[in-house]
Order: sequence, then structure tokens, then C-alpha cells
Amino acid sequence: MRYCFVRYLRWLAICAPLALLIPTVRHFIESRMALHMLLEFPLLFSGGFFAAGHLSRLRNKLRQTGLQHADYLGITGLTIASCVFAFWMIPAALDMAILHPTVAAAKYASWWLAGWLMAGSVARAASGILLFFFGNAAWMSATAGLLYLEAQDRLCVNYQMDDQVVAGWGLLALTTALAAVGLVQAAIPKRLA
Amino acid sequence: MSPAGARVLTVAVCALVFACFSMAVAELTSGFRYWTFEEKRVALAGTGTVRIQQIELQDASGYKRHLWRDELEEDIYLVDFIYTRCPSVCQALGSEYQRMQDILLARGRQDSRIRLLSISFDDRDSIEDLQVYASRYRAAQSKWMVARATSSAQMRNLLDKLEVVVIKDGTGGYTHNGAIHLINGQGRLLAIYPYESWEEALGAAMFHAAGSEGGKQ
Repeated sequence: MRYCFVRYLRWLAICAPLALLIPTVRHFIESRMALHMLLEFPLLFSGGFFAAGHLSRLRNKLRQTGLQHADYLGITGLTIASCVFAFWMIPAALDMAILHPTVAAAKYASWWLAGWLMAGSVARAASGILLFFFGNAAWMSATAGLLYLEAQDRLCVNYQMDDQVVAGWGLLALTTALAAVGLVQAAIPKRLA
Repeated sequence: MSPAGARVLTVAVCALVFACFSMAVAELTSGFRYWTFEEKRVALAGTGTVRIQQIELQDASGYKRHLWRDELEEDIYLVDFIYTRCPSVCQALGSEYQRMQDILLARGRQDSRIRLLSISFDDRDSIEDLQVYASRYRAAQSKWMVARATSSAQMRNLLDKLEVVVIKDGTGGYTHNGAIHLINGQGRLLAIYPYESWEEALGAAMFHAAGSEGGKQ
């Protein structure tokens, strides 16, 4: 019963990014800074993350190429995910993604791919390494959040000032969540490994 | 592959990933200088690469005219974007434009090439609304044109070209860019100034007007 529920949730996570293909849904999410950063990004990321478990044929083919050797202890996948995370925290990147379709496409692809790569990396990584990357992401999220909260002007031309403040608080909440996940997986490594 | 080989390969790939990341950020921020869209827009305006297409405008008295069509036109325009129901930034801009107008009129013939231009981006703004706005700030028809585009497609095109973003504020109004754009007679964007720096914008307009005057002689 419990297994069925978890499987249902996984499929939901995999299919959720498809909702972004509906223009009304996409425009609604992207019209609010907090939803753009704290709903759309995680949706794309988790979509890729959980899809990795279901693309076994592709994964096996990749394994034959020996590509996993380039991801020793999961470090490459985690580095790519960190870079994607850092890039989309830049205010100019958010504006460009709204104003230019090609940048938007890069955003969808990069977040999904980051999730997909991360799934393999998490399985390979030791808990100490995961703790380092989660700590790093938490630190980045806190920096961006505080920056958004303290800015006197609008940082994005596509968002209101009050929206920016909500996004700032949201990023600080994300910091707590990332730090918690990092610490919990370090305390009970078998859960994620 | 041996663990040692995998380690070396991983480090090399990570270095490559990081190099790509740095290049992407450098491209986005024009060499790690401008982290917001507006900072970059203002900085790149000075390169003179943006040229806007001709547009037909209708002023507060209903008179229509084409701007930025004539290759030989030597006027210098200080352009701002407004909507007449705006309770905040357009009021400040209106007062600033009024002061600029007073200075320009006092200086007379010397700055006759400089024109002030306030363009409404709000489809709801009628000629009467433009008249109310123009009379509120005592806009002199010879110096300050309060106008709207005759076609919304041309207006969209102008805003896109200048990368001016207008968003709905949820209460029937708009949040928009309050910058002053310095544009020459051929439609080339010369500089962008935040509305607080109107004196600097006016100074630059005078400088360019004097330049085009000098070029003619």
C-alpha cells in the first residue's frame, strides 16, 4: 500500500513539469518571482530526478559507454547541479528567461538535466560529499535570499518589489530545507545511498 | 577503469563544467559587471548599437507625425514612457520634464534641437487623457510632445527594441521603467538615465545637440 503511494508520488513528480506546456499555467507561475524560483525550478528538478529511475534502458546504454567513470563519487553530477542552481539565482537570468524563449528553453532543460544527473550522483556519492554540496547550495540560497530581501530597488524588471521580498523569504526557507536534507542524509546515510 | 583513472577523469570533467559555467555567467553579465537586466540595458545603451524603427505618434492635440524616419533629422529626443493614470513614477517624471522644459525654453535657440517626448504605453489613454497630462505639467507644444502610438504593434515593437518592460501591478495600473532615453533624430539610442538623473540626461542632450550643430557648420 505504502509502496503504491510512493510510486504514485514519483509518477506525479515526473509528469508535473508537463503542466508547464500549458501557457496559462506557465504564465501564472512565471508571473510571480517566488513561484518561478521556488515552484517551477523544483518541479523541473524533481521531474528529472525521478525520471532517471524510469529510464533504465537509456541508463544501461550510458553505463556501457563508461560515462559513470566521469562521475567518480557523484562529484560531476553534483557540480553540474550546483552550477545550474547558482546560475538561476542571478536576477538577470530570471529576466532573460522570461523575455527570451531560447533562454527559457535552456532553463527548462538545465534544471531537468540537473535533476536527472543528480539522481545517479546521489547513488554514487558518500554522505560526506552530499553534505558538502547540500551545505554549499544552502549557503548560496541564503546569500541570494538576503540579497533579494535587502535590495532597495527591483532587481528584476519583470517582478514587483513585494514579490521580490516574498521570494527572498522563500529562499531563506529553502536554505533551511537544504541544510536539513544534508544533515539528515549524513545522520542516516543508508536512506539515500 | 581504475579508481585513480576515474578520479582524474572526474576532476577534468568538473573543470570543464566550471569553465562552461563561468563562460555562461560572463556572457549573461557582460563580463561579471552587470547582474541585473536593467544595469546591463543602461550600460549597453552607450554603445549606440540599438536603433529603433520609425513610429507614427499622435500628440495631445490629435496631430499625427512620424518620428525617426528621416536620416537627416538632427533633433535630439529625451524620451520617457508613461501612462496618464500613473500615481507614482510618471508624476515625478512629469515634474522633471516640466523643469527640463523651463530650462530649455529659457536657453532659447541654443537648444532648439532638443525635444522632450513622453509616450504613453497604455491603450486606455485617449487624446483627452494626454491633454490632461500635458496641461497638468504645462507642456509647451513646441518643446514637449505628450503622445501615444497610433498602432499598438508599433508601440510593442518600440518597447521591445528598447527592452522597456511594463508589467501589470494587479490594481489596474502598471509597474514600469521610469528611465529617460536619449535618442537621436535617426532613432539611434545614445544613452539611458534613471529618472533621478534627469539633469545628467539634459546635459548629455545639450552636448549631443551642440555636436550636431557643430557638424552642420
